[in-house]
Amino acid sequence: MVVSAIYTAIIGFMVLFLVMGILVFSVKWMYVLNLLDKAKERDKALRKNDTTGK
Amino acid sequence: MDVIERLLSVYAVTGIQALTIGHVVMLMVGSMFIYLAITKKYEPLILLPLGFGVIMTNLPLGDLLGHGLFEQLYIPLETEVFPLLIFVGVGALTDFGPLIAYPYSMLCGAAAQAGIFIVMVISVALGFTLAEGAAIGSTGGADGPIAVWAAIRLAPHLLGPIAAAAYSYMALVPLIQPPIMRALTTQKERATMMEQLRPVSKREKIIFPIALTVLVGVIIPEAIPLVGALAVGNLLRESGVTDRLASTAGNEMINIITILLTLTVGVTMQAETFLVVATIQIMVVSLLAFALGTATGVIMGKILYFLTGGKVNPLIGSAGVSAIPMAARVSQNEGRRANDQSYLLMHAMGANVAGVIGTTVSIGILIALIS
Repeated sequence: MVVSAIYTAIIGFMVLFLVMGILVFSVKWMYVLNLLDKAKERDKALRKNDTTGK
Repeated sequence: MDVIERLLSVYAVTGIQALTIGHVVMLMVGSMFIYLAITKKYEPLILLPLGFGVIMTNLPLGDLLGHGLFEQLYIPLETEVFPLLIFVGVGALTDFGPLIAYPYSMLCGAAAQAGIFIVMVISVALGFTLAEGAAIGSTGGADGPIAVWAAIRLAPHLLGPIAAAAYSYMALVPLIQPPIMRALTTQKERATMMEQLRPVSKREKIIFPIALTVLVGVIIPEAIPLVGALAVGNLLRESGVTDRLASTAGNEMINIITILLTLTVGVTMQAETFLVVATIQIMVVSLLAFALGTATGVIMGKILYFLTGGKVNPLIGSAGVSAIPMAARVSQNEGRRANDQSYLLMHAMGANVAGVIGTTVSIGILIALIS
């Protein structure tokens, strides 16, 4: 019974780290989206201020 | 003669003749909860109704769970409705911004769950079943609603002692954590100042609860109810279009459910089922689970400290347990003690909300593995 509990604990803890690791990378990926958004906004602002007539 | 007989018949229906030492002890336990709530201000919103429930249920011959209000209130408790609704409210009150800004604090939230798994093994060694051990280990997160949810799913007969342990240690976070944090860190590490977190966009805050539910739900379906409840509450808050619902979930609803849940949990703590050796064992190993969770969280904080070249204060690791926001406040206070220029609260809140997610995921994993 104790051996079974030890296996359950080890597997459970590993799966927990796997899930949390996936969440870390997902959130990092969201940050890239955020940067792309900011770049688009900056591009828009630059186009608005463009006075060259192009 | 007739008068004496009538008096004796009245005495026979009073609770006095059925009063036992166990009832008296439980009345003292209930009174102590109320004392801690009012005088010491230890989690008064929880301990006061809980204590009163304990007093009511241990008045002899009351049989509160057998009929009437509490018989009805026990149904949403045993069908998980109460803990899940509380989690909707918790989600509506939680800001995931610090976690999104510094996602590596998620690792503190994972490491601090080690206590749950270690204590599960210890509980099994003490003679509990695997399911009971997992339910007892859930107190390592020091989060009442999660522990109640785990107990209902895994070991409903241990609901009283597990809830008592979880809520008691939740209240004692400021006393239990600091000595462990100081013992595992050096003065230099505790004085580390952390950079201010980046601002988080509204889009990130909206995507996060949806992504959280989908990712966790795909891998661990057993965790969907609790993670989903937390996420929907948070989405109500962050969407910006359901302010009324977010306000209701985070105020009126969570307050009403807290009263009903804690009172009902108190009513389940009857002398006959509570005053047993198992309860003392649960109280002791639960404390161990919480202490181990704090220690492993700090150790993960130290690992991040070394990996980042001293940019992370290890004290935020202890907030990886899910006692929110108390554990984060303790990290902030300990950081300020070591360096009065240090401001750790937001970083610690990141680890703290990661702890809520970590505890939820851990219990989901254990339910899946055991069932």
